[in-house]
Amino acid sequence: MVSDDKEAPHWSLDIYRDYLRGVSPPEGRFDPEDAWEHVYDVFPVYGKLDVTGQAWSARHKGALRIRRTPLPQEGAVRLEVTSEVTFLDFEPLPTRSQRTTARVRCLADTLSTPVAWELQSTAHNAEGNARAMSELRESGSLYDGTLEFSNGDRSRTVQVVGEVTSNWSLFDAVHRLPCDERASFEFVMLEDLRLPRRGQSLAWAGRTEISMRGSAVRLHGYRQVGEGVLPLHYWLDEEGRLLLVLGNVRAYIWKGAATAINRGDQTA
Amino acid sequence: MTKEHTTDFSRGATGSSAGPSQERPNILFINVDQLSMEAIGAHGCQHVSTPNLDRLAREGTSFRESHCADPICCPARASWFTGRMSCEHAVVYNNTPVRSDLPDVARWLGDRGYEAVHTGKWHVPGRELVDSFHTVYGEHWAGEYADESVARSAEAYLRNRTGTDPFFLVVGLLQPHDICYWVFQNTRPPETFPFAEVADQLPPLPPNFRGNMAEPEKAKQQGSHRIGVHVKPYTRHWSEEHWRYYLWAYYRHVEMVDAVIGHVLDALQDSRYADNTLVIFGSDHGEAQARHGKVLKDFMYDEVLKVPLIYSWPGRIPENHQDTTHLVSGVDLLPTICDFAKVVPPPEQRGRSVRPLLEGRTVEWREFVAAESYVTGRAIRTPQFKYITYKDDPIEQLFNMEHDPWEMTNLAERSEFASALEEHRSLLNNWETTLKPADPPSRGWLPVE
Repeated sequence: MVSDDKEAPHWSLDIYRDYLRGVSPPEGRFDPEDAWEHVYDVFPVYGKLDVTGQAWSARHKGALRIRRTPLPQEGAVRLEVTSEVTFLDFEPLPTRSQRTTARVRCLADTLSTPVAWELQSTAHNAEGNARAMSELRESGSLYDGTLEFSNGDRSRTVQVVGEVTSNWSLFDAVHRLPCDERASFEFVMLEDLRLPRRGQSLAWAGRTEISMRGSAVRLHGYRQVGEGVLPLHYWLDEEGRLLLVLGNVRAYIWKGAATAINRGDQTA
Repeated sequence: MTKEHTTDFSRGATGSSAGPSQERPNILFINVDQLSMEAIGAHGCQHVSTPNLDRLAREGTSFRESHCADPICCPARASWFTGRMSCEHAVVYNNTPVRSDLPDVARWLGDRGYEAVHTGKWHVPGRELVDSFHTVYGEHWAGEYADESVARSAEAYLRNRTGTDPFFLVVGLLQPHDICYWVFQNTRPPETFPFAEVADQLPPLPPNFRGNMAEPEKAKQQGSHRIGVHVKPYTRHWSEEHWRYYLWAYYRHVEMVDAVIGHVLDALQDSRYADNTLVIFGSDHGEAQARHGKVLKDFMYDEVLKVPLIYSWPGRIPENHQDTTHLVSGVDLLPTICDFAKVVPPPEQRGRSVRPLLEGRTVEWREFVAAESYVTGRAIRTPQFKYITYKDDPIEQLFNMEHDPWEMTNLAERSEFASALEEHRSLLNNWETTLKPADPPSRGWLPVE
């Protein structure tokens, strides 16, 4: 049991502290090099936090599911991603959510560099049916500093310099980073495998502790800053398992390993 | 015509036989929330990277004297879509319902041969999206969370659409509005600035960050349309470094929305509609950016009142052109859209079509634009001066915008500007007599929580 006033958590966790008390921490060993499948709730965090006393809105949460499959014979890993953004539901809007699935081939390197991918996204109504004219299918690749994005018979290329990763690759890569100041990287981040965000850096953010379901959970973390992103914090448990990714108004919070949750509740 | 829901659109439609042609273009209106005129690269900002908005500016005409009709979301948007001032459409605060008898441009065009499609932020209270648009996608209030998904729905529509009527597609992106939440979440920043890696990138504070100018009470409260909620306390623990970090953060929000705008523009460029689509880009209002020591919106200084406005239609509208002369307003949007769509606009429009300006025609243009705020606030902007007043507040403000673009010296009490002050009072009074204010609700114009 951790006392609430024992140690103030890192400031980036301040507004999540109450919510995390109700979240079950993961159990068991974790091998970041192995196959795994993690599920996160995705929250839009907005509102007049310290005026209303309301911590933040959890009403319209989305979901992110990432499955990692090592491909050791090929020096690669495969990431399968399902991302669901839930829209407002207080108006009679026919779209309830937007679902994106991605299949990404990454190098088995420090930043899980994406080298080839396929994306599909569709808007869905409240019954879960796809909306007409809402499907997008895209593919892309990275080779020798050239990003190529294809959509049907159209393609675009973008030149990039230096290391390249993606926001979803980072959910994998941070598992294997050093737990100290040696964690210092600069890269281009391919957001949602569509948008190169340049000038990104990732650095060690230190250690902290939070309470989850009555248990003290030791965390270590990294922070990311760069063009087109607000500072992001990645917090991992002592097993090296990513529990939290906290942006400005978007927060990914651990829901569970796929084997430990009811898949019927998920969107993947 | 595509009908994604059960809305009855048999409302006396006319001209529905018009297909997409050079005469009746498709219209793509991309709007964002809380983007100031000077916060993009094309307009001179050196602290932000906006390659997509810069591209749009290169491909079109940018109005540099563009003003919102009301510096807060709902009223400004209601003015866009109805062409009326806040006191007339009745959205005088956020969340106050719009007059039900006023047509909006989407339904107006939808009844006249256009396929009206909306995705993203709308925020015209009291007017359901499904009552004005044929096809509606999702809406959300957190841009970092949902803008990319909003853009995807627009892209998918442009890539998959099969209809033959011209379309009026409204893409409502939320960013950089999330800066509001950023402010709310950063009221007590860490004592030590935690991001050493960006310390040398923090923009400088503006020259009017500090000042001792007397302000009307409402301007001092800045952004407090909700009872008991004032913004200023949010910043009382901020160091100068944190104020600069707030500026840095604002520009990152701008970069977020620039990226998703790029996706929509790319989709249009890839589509078969690239040559016959008028693209309009605008923002409902701006952001304080530490100017006058403020954050957020809801007052009458230029950082909030002036907004980017870009029109692009390759081969039809001058490219890479900045119109620095003509005063334009948010209420001009509806008549301009109707002009390009060859549709007579709804009656009693307060704005004017800017199409003649975009086509280089010589026309007699207005001598001022007006803006409203909070029921009682009014601003009149002429080429040289800006006049600000709040009813029942003794402090009036008059700025010489040619010599004092940062609005730091109030000339209203200087005798040598008495005639200018009186002239602007008269302009305002005369303007007000042309308006038809809505009846206030029985409870009065009370803020709505």
